[in-house]
Amino acid sequence: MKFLNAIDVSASGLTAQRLRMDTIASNMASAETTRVERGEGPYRRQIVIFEAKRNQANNNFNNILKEKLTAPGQGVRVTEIRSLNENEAPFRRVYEPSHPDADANGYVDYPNVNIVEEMINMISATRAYEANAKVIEATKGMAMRALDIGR
Amino acid sequence: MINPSLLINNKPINENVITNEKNSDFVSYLKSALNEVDLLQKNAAIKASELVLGEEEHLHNTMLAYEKANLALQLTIEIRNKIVEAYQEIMRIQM
Repeated sequence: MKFLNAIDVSASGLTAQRLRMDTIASNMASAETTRVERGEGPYRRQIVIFEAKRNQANNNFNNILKEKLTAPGQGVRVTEIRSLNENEAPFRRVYEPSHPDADANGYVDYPNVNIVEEMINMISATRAYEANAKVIEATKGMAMRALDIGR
Repeated sequence: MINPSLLINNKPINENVITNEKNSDFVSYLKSALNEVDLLQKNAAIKASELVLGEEEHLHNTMLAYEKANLALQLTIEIRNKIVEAYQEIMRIQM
């Protein structure tokens, strides 16, 4: 149903913000984790990368042209949940020689997670989620008003 | 025991409607529209059971399936009201 397209677009936004919230929760929970199950070093901060979706590929030129001129985007897609390694965001080094994970010089690598930044991202994700829900409510209101015309 | 040879010419009703007159006939158009509303309702029920079983990880998808089904049903009800009203108008014409 084309008239419900706005709802699908907002649904993709809700899903994207939920996934972002999941990564934020994971970062917050593992902010002091010095080991990972597979691999070396501490927990690496994860970020989500969004991408705007376009319509499905159309077959002929006429459809593609019409779509470029008139149709809006189709929402957002999560392309990747990337772990930031040391080159992109340096680990936090703390001098703790008694820690079991201390290296030869007595320094321990802590995750590159900034708690304050994660809190701010959490608020931002919450507000974005609420905004998308508001859009859905407004779209539904518009549809009901349209029905009232005929009543 | 049904004689199979009698069924050859009796296609099920849906197939007749969809293959023969596509959308040029009002009745077939109405039926396909009602089918779509029905599909939305069924989809909403399936989404609810998926959520409970844990296969659907996002709550909002289930809620939105219900909202879509609800909107489609409301629209269908309004259109039905209009059609019945039009019919009654016509029947009121004095001959």
